[in-house]
Amino acid sequence: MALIGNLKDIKLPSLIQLNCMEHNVAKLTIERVGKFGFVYFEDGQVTHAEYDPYIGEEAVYRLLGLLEGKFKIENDVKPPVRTIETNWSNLLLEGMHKLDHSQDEVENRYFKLFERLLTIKGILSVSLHSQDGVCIDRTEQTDPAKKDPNVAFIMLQAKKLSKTLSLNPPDFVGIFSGQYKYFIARYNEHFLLLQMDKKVKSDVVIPLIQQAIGV
Amino acid sequence: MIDRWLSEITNVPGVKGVFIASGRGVILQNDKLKISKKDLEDIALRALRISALFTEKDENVSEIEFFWKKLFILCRISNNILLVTLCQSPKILPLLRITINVSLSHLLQEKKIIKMARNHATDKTLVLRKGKFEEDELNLLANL
Repeated sequence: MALIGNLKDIKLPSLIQLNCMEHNVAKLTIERVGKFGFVYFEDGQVTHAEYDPYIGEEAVYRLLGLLEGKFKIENDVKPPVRTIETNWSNLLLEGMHKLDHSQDEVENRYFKLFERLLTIKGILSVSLHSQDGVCIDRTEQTDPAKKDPNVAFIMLQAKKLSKTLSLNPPDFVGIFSGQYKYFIARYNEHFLLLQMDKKVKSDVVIPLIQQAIGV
Repeated sequence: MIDRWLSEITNVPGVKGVFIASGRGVILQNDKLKISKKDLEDIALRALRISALFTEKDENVSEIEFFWKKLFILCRISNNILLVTLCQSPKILPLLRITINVSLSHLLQEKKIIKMARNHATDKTLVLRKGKFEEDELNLLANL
């Protein structure tokens, strides 16, 4: 019988540790937003992994970065090929080291961007959101109890509106709501949400934001 | 008289046109925009959906702006009425805002507008639950 769960509840290092220590012959399948990853276990080691387009150790390192995703472990499934020779504990240590390092780089990059944006008068807080609606990083909130607007949905509506007018998606969307003004800007493949004082004037602040994000 | 107040807005240099829609996205009047009624309804619906996201959180949206390099859209929402203005550049915003404020306050006193606003009064969040949604929209709405 297959063991089914979510990486939110049991992290990948624990699953690897468990299968290796138990000397299981097994296949671990991970599914995250339609993308699949596979890790095979045999003789107390991780012997093969795939996570498109990665194969072998690199696939394991990438999978270690997933904080959530459905998983399934099927016993007695042998690997189609052996691509990993590294001991499982060394593999995990290296993976965690790489993950820490990449997270530091990402955090520093966004920290500098946020810092630049916060120097603009009237900007109260900044957050970065993915296209699938996940908040990637943020500065301290002015009102921690207040939930961010669904930035990805807003920008999707803006994109569809643009399509109606045969235009590219807009560079910025501004929304006046209650005591704040929200500004959403495209930033690479993500969206920046800027919470601002309601008195901020769009035509004044836009060139400053463009300068800060390097557009 | 509705025409008069809309033309006050379209007379601002750089304004391409303006239209009024109800809280359900039905187009009441269009001035100078050479866009099909179906497309105007689509624009209105997108703006109303964005507004509805905030209504769900007990926040009221009064204005939504969309910026492109060569186009600027300003949507004003007031008393179940949506006033959408398309113009070439946000540089005319200060003058445009004053004109829209004056025109909108007069438009909201027009009997035809009052009647439509009353007839089309609805739960503002209905646009997030009813109507055609594509799969990508439904996925993001599931995160609400």
